[in-house]
Amino acid sequence: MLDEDGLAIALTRIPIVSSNGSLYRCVDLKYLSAPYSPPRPLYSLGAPATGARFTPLGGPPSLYMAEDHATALAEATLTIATASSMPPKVVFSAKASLDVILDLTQNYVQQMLETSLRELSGSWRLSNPTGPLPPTQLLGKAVFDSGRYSAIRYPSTKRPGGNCLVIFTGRLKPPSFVEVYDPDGNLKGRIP
Amino acid sequence: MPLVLMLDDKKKIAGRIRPDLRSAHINLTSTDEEETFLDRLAKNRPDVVFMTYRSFGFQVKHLKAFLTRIRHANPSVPALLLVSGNRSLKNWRALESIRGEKLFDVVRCEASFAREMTFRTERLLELARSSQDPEPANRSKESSVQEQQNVLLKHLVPQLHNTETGRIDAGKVSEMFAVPLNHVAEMLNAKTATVHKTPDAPALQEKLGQLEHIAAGLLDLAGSQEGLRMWLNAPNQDLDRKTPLELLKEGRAEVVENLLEDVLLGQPG
Repeated sequence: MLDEDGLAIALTRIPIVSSNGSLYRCVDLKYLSAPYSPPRPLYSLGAPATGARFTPLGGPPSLYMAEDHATALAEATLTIATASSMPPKVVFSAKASLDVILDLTQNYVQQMLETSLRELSGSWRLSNPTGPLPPTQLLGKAVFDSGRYSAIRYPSTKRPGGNCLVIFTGRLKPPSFVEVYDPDGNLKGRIP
Repeated sequence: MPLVLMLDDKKKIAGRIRPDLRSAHINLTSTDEEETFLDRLAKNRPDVVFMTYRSFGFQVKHLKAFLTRIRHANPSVPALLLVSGNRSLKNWRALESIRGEKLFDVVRCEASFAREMTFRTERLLELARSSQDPEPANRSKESSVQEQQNVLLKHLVPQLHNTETGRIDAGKVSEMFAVPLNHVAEMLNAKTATVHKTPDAPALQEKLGQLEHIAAGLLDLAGSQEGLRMWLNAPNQDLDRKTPLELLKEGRAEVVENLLEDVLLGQPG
């Protein structure tokens, strides 16, 4: 991965991509029930509170979603799950129109950032909170700071072939949006 | 042991990849002849195939034609293409255009390409395996859904509590996690004698609460105490191949707690 200065330059040159479609997430039902009601399916302050793949601790509000139903389910399952029974989970979808995405699934983008799939899929959880940022969080910070992108598309670490997105909700400007799809109105949420 | 078959134009690349693959328990065989490659593809039924872009004179149309022949011989074998790192952006985009096929991936050749290829091979093997399985959605339909009380309003894991004092008991944690009490003391950063004497001491409750939170998440996700113990003892990709139990002993329970919380929230990691 390029260093901070290198990333700042490279990110001005990488072609942006846009996307119109549905995103998915699978949540344990209890997180959508009391005492968390009303449910906030597009809550984006959890990632900066504990850190996430592209979000440093204390970083920008970030919403992580999967591009398809099966990937959302894989991301909500333990890798060696042996459960024959399990508590209820809710898979919801959101309509999303995003016009400035950094697409890390493309090899030429990885090449321009001098990174690899292995590095992008690497473990970030064991980094020292007071030490240097792990590569993906360094990239996430540079992407947010560039002000050019509102989201990053990246390969799922839980389902090969599946992709996920992290959306920097503070960077979403109309006509871009994310809106929960629920014709019955049980789950609601729209950004911005 | 999975087998990789490689079309290597100068037989140089295979030698550089082989040690990394071997350490991942993957065998590699190579040839520089297209026809020999196709013959072995049909006879040996490799699990993954590698090719170098150089073998096709850096021509996308030649690559596509060869891929068609591979698919004819074996429709489901995952394929990895190795491309030298200095290819132009235009060239990369041309290659990306044939990545629509999900069992095809492209790796660029740079200093650490052997590790990257091994990593991607493992992913392709996993993808090939999962595409043979029923869809996860179907599996979940087969699973019975168990209704639960709202555990947030009660003790998270009642089995971990002393029935008389109501407090969390380190002895019961030791039993559920199947680890000796002195290991639980390590997790709590407390002296074994102290924990042994009063396993539900008020002073231990904050850290025991973290372990209880972990147990609650695991019982939800793994569905049983057996599943809980398996997960705690298994090297975890999200934890740099360490086991969650190792991290607990290092006093880093919050890392395990956050990981489980993310899974429960379905937050892609």
